[in-house]
Amino acid sequence: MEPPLSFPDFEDFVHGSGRRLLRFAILMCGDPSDAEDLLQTVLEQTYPRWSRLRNGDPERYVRRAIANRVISRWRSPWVRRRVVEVPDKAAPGDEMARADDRALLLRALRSLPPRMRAVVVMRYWVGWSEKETAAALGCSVGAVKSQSSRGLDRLRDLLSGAASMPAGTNRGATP
Amino acid sequence: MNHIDLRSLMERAVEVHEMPGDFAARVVRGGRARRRRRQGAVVGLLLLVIAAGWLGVAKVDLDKRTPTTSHATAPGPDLNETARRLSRDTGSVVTAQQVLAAGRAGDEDLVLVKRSARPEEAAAGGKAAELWVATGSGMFSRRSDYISYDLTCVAEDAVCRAERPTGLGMLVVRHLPGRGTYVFVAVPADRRVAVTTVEGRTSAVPGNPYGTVVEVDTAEPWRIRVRVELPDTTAYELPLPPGGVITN
Repeated sequence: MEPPLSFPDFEDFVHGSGRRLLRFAILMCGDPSDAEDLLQTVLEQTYPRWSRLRNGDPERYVRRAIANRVISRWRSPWVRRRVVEVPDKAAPGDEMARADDRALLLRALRSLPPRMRAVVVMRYWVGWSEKETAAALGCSVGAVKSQSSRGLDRLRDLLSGAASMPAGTNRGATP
Repeated sequence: MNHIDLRSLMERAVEVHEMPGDFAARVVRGGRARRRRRQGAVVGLLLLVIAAGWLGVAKVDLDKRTPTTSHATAPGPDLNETARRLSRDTGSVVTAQQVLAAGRAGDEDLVLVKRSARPEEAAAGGKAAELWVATGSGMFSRRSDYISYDLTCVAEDAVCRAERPTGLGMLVVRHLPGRGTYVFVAVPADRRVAVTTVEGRTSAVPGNPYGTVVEVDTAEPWRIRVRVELPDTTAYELPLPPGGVITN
């Protein structure tokens, strides 16, 4: 049977989950405008499959799709070539950049390898278990453990100069 | 910094970002467009598969019925080799698709190469070929520049008339006094060929779209008769074309 031309509940889903998904995408990409484009692309791809997804956990599906796209995009030689030209860290002495805590964290996240970044975001921001993260990324629980631990260490190093950034704000907020 | 601190940092980093007001509408528009494209692609693919299937059936039918009149099928490896030798010996490019039939008659290689039929014959559905011959491992040379086929039937041969639109086959007799007489015949697949000399001797062989050579012993090669039997056991006579006995 031909699926209906519109899914009102899909629009409800986008309205309801869009903000969380956008924030997830920003953390995954490390760049708000890239994240918006990525989220739009993934949601557009989700739309034709909505009749199958609506009864499951569509938000989890979209998160997984975002993560996989970020990781696959990194695998592309063309993207790798381009990314090499982008400095991962703020240039030393760039006080303006250091002053921007948000940009600093996103830049630090961006400097992580995509899979490690995905593990860190899924584990520590979304709050998924190691098993759930492993299932979403199609890797072993052991890989998730090591990637999350190494990711945390690297972020700690990268952000050590940003000790002034107050922590604890919005603690417990739902991602 | 522990993971709780990290979570707070991440939360702070994204807390200012909100979904643009028209984002949901944009996504739905894009999603609908994507679905339409996908449906279009599926329909296109389906049409492509149907077309490919139809072409495949048509090609199989063509192979069965008219392999000597059209070489839409992939030629066998021997035809490729023959085309390569012909190209080498003639200095012009001959493709395997131009080679209609090839066979070995004694110490000679016989090759029928497609050529354009005379307009009046073409208008009547006739086709034409050239005969090229190489002796031993020597070079090919042209021994006949025009051999017609699929053009006529023996009078009152109803089976022939019925089959002619889809191809009858081609026939050449290579007659070398003192060295033998060979009937070179190519007919559509799944047909049998019976060659009868005026002396009354008959040789029956399976037909081959790419050519069969039958050696016969006869004093009058011009009076050789070739009957082609269809799978349903009906048969027609394959007429020997004018200039069809090659003696040079």
